[in-house]
This record gives sequence, structure tokens and C-alpha cells, in this order.
Amino acid sequence: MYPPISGWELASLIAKLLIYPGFLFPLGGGLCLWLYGDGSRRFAVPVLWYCAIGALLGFNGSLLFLLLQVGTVNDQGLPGMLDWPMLSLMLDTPAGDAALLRLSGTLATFLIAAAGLARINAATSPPGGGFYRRLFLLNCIAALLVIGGFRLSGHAAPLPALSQFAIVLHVAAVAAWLGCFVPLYILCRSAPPPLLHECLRAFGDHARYTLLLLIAPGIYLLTRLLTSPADLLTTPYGNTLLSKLLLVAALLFIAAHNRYRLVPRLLKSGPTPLRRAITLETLTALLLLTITALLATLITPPTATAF
Amino acid sequence: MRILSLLLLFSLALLPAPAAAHTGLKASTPADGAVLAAHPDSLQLVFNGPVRLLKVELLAAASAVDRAPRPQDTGFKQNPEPTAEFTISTAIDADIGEQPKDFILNWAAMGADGHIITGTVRFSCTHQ
Repeated sequence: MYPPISGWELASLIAKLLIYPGFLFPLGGGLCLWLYGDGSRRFAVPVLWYCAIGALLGFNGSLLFLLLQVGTVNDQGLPGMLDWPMLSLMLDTPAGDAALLRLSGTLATFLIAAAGLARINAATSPPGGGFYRRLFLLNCIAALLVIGGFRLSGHAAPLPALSQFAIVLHVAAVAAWLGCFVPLYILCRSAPPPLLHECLRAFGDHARYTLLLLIAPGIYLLTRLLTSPADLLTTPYGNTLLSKLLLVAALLFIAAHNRYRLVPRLLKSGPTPLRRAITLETLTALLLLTITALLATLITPPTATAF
Repeated sequence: MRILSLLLLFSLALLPAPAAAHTGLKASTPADGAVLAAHPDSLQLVFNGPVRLLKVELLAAASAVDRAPRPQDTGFKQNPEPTAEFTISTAIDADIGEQPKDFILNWAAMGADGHIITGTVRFSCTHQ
């Protein structure tokens, strides 16, 4: 029997889910602007808005998660979330450090996106590739601050430094993959088919390396968090993790279908099938992130002694 | 697409309905539900791993149905480094009109991974 989820736990799960766009959107958006975009205002403006919205969601999610932790400790309803002595106590813990990293990272991302939008709107001609490369690098730094929070607070936090490095690499690769889905959808609407074909081919080729950076640290972390492969079938954490792995397999299946079936036919059949496939990918990714938030917030790994 | 749909459905079917809670308190002295002959001078909380204890609240009630239990001083201070065992001294107020019989110890701690765990230990005293 599993204990029921409390209101605080459910709210924390939602807050954790809101943190994810804080690094997924800027990393994926920045990467697409630099490598896969056509540099046009029609593509760049919505993608920069996407980065800014991700930053806002991430900032609010990070703040809410911290306040919910305070509220959980006080257990005095909503006013208990704003108890300053407990909040200052919480800020002295690694969870407080993680919250400050996430808040500063998402704030920086928002400012970068706002500056990018101002620059594009003020320019008479579209900015060059150098502008988008600098924008991506700045987004990377900001996103790494947010991702660094997972090293300080989360199931990998009590593990050795190599596991903490693996979690950062894994999460960054996830962002560089899943964060690209929405910008690529926007590209499908804005770019002419020949350019779209070229961009999506490049994305598919790069995705092989991204997936390697995602899967290798992911497998390593599995070996650290599970006591044996049987845990996948016999523990709540393992069951949930298995459902996550199956969703990853589903995403890989869609990605392969896109790369080897839809992209080669793009010039003949137009972008509509690809747009539909990317929509399905995005919805699957949303489900995957929800399960990840569930794993990260409410379920204990079998190897944990006191989480 | 049919394979994909099956994969998605199967992945959802594997999800445990409610989440499994994080582990927490291994033992306490007095134990939950203990009946003591006299007020304890100290309380001990033992966790199954290092934690930062964030809150200790001891409430004393004249009876189990007392709706206004009185907070008791514990002199609790947060531990700078995570540990697994905590001893908390108690200074139960003997001057309150009616001798308290039932005690509620509410605690909250942060695990090594930043997760918050909370719990309650209830015990009572038989003295008159």
C-alpha cells in the first residue's frame, strides 16, 4: 500500500514541473536560433518569447517550490508559506542554495530574451549568426545555473561527484533535445520547405550526439539509484522509472520516424505531417516530464536511506 | 503508430497510483503511542539517514480531546550539519492548571536530497 499524496506534495509536484521550462525552453530555443533557424524575425521573435515564457514559468516554479517547502514544514496553511524565520532557515540549506541558483538562472534567461527581442525589434535587418551564437552561449550559462540546482537538491545530491556531473549532463542533454520541439514546430510554420528540410536534417544528425549525452549518463545514474534491475519491476520507484523509459523509447521511435521517413519526404508532402509528428512528440515529452517530476519529488529510489 | 500507442498506454499502466513517501523516522523515544509514568526529560528522534531537523513542536494537552494543546519549550536549535540522531530536552510546564496527560510532538526535517519529511509522535503520561 502507498500512502496518499498530500496537498503539499501535489502542489510541490506542480511547482517542480513548472521549473523544467526554466532551462528546457532557453536551451532548446537558443540552440534552434543558432543552428536551425533561418535568422528571420518571423522565426526569432516567437522563439525568444518561448525562452522568456520558459524563464517566467521557471522563476515562478522555483519560488513556489521553495515557499511550498516552507509551508510543508510549518503546516499552517497558506500563511505558513510566508513565514520569514522558516524561509531564512530554509535558505541556509542546500535546497535554499538550489532555489537561489534557479531563481538567478531564470531571471538571467528572461533578461537575455528581453534584450534579444529589443535588439531584433530595433534592427532594420535581421541579426547575423554571431548574434544568435552569443545568445545561445548566454542562455547556456543561465540554464546551467538552473540545472545546477539539481546537483544540490534531488536524488543525485547525496551521491558522489561523478553522479552529480552525470545528472547535470543528462538534464542539459534533455533540454537540448526536448527544448527544440516547439521551436522546430514554429520553424515548420515559418520556413520554406527547402530550408526546413535542411534544418531538420541537421537537427536529426546532431540529435544522435545529444541522445548519446542523454542516455549514457542516464544509464549510469540508473546503476547508482537502483540496487538491481529487478527494482524496475518490484519497487514503486522502479515502476515509475520503467514508465519513463518506455516514454523515452516512444520519443525515440517518433524521432526516428521523423528523421528517416517524414524529413526525406518533406519536399514532396509539405510540412503538415511533420508538424503533426512534432505535436505528438511535444505531448509525449510533457507526459515524460510529468513522470520525471513525480520521480524527483515524491518517490524514493531503492538505494536511498533517508530521502 | 499502433506500436507507439501501445507503448504509451503500457507506460502509463506501469505508474503506481499514489506516490510512495520518502522514508523518515526510524524510531523515537518515547515511541509513538507510548504511555509513560512521568514526563520525559528529553526526547530522542532517530532517522534512517542524516537529516537537518527544521522544526520540533511539543504540545501538551489535558486530554486526548483537548482542542487547545499548550506549546512546551524544547530549546530546539537547527543542526548545522545533517545527522541521524537528535536528543531534544524538554521543559514541561508544571504550573499549567491541569497536569497535561497527552503530548504531541510534531517534527519536520530535510533529507540529504532536499526533500521535506514531516511526522508526529504521540505519547501520554499516567500521573495524576
